[in-house]
Amino acid sequence: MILRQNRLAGLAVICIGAAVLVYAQRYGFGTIARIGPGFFPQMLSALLILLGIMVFFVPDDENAGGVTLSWSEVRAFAFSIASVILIALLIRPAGVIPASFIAALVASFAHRDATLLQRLTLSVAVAAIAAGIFVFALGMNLRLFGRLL
Amino acid sequence: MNLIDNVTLGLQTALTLENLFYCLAGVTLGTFVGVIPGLGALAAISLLLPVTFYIDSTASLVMLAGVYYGTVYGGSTAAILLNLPGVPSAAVACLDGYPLSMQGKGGLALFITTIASFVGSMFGFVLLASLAPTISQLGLMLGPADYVMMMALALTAAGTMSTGSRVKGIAMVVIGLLLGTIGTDVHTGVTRFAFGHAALLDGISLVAIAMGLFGITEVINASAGKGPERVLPKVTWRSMIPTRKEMRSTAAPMLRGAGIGGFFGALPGVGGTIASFISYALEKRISRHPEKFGHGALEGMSASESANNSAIQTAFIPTLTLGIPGDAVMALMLGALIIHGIAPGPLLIEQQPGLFWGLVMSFVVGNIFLVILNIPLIGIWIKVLSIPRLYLFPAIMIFIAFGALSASMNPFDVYVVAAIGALGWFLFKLGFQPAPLMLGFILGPMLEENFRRALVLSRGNYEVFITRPVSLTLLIATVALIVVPMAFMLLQMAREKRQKQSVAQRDG
Repeated sequence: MILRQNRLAGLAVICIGAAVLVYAQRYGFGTIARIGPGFFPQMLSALLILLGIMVFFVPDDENAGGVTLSWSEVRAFAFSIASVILIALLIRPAGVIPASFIAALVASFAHRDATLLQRLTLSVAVAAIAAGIFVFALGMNLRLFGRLL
Repeated sequence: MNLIDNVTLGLQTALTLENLFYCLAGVTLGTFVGVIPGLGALAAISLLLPVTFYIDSTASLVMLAGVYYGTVYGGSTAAILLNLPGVPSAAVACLDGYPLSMQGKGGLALFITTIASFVGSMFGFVLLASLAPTISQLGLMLGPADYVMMMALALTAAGTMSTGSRVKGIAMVVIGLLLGTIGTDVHTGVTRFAFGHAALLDGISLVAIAMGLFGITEVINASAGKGPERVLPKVTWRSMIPTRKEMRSTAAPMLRGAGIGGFFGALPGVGGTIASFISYALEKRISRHPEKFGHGALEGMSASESANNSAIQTAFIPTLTLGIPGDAVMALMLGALIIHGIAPGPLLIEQQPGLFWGLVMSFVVGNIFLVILNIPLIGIWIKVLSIPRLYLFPAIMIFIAFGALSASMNPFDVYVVAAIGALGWFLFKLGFQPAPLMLGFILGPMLEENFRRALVLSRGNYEVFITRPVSLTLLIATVALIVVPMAFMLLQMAREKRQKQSVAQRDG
């Protein structure tokens, strides 16, 4: 099934605009001479809904060919985002070296073609470089190994 | 101060050991990133933003600017050797550069583009140094209403001139403006869209947005794609040196390209990529042998590279004199200034002469570095093209996470980066461009503030936007930017419909 790109894009924009418009009702609109905190968000989200409707009705670009998702793209996306989240989760409890080792290992799975040795070499190198740059060179206040270890 | 004093001050600033180091680091990193297809100036500058917390404002800007013009030099290398534009603006360099490379003249093409880049940069530099002080003087006479319209024009231009659909570009600008409203409203003290998170009281950090949108999204896209597997041509010293005839044939195109680039670079939303296409088209039109274009003509390639680099220099004019960035890269430069507590605007040159003139003079230094990096040391960059992506991209992801962490030492910012990266990727899949969002995010708070100030000063009278001549002119330009392309589109659609009808009548 090929989804029409602009139909989906338009719906996404309309949803974002509508959500913001509803949420922004809690902020005062103010008067024209004294604009309140709600004026800008409400005007902009209304404009966004309008733009979303326009996008919805714009015919797709012929060479865009609808929304396609390949397995390798989903794979690259999932492992890359996961590695960033792992750093956030692990940095305090585990420390810089374990966190960056694990995150780099996970990120390496964004690429399918690699041996386990290559992945491990990469992870060790990234952990060492991260410790070198961020802890020693930039002096960030982080532990190399966290309390849990 | 006269020009000589300014240039002296600039050289004194640019030639300190610290600034020389950051300039060299910037242009080297820029060339490196530019050579790698899939990563561009926006990704590189975003990755370096956290580093700027640790160094002073002049060194930060010198480095970030170096990255920017460095990527353009590097981008043409990948274009010539692999037919892959390392950065979008190098697309034109593929047209003639790759055929030259196939004919065994890759070295010559690299030499000519480097010289053309240098000529273009120096032309743009002269325009920047001579026009900027005057324009910032004029900027002081403008009121908040004028600034509102100037920002509206810049945002509309960024949305409509970007590649892809115009409506989608504007939608991204508006999403960026909305992201910019997150945090405490400076006028009323009301907290907007913080959802109870203390970390959002100051708004989403610029670093998180930039790294999420340009770092994560670009790496995901680049690692899903296949790397170059072509055999890299060897480039020898001897093959680089052009004959006198070849040199002479490129002189005039380089100068014409520099002029075109210098003009379009200063306009909001246009920039180097469009300038390089225009100057290539011009050379093709006035050439005595247009049939050679696309098969290795040096004229088109030298004009487009010169235009590209000239445009980069003049893009700094509106950014540094008025505080209005013309594209996403300039928006990040402005963001780096704001991180350092420097208010962008017409007072910048007067209040921070060391920063302004130091930055401007560093362009000369950086371009000399680049000529050295790209002619004698070209072999290094050809090797860079063969670095396995497997090693590069996971490392970049980890650096993005640490970079976000270093901005605030709060893991919350790392989650924000991941969320923005995911959002950016979904929007990309739906055919949206990230650059207009960035511009909206940076200009949003300034737009809102000036809008409010204009209405306070006029006691709530909207007429202030149409009674001031500057504001009115800019308003007309903004409306024209939206209406004129739409009118053309409708006309064309009507014409196609009529053709279809007449074909149907004839057949029926």
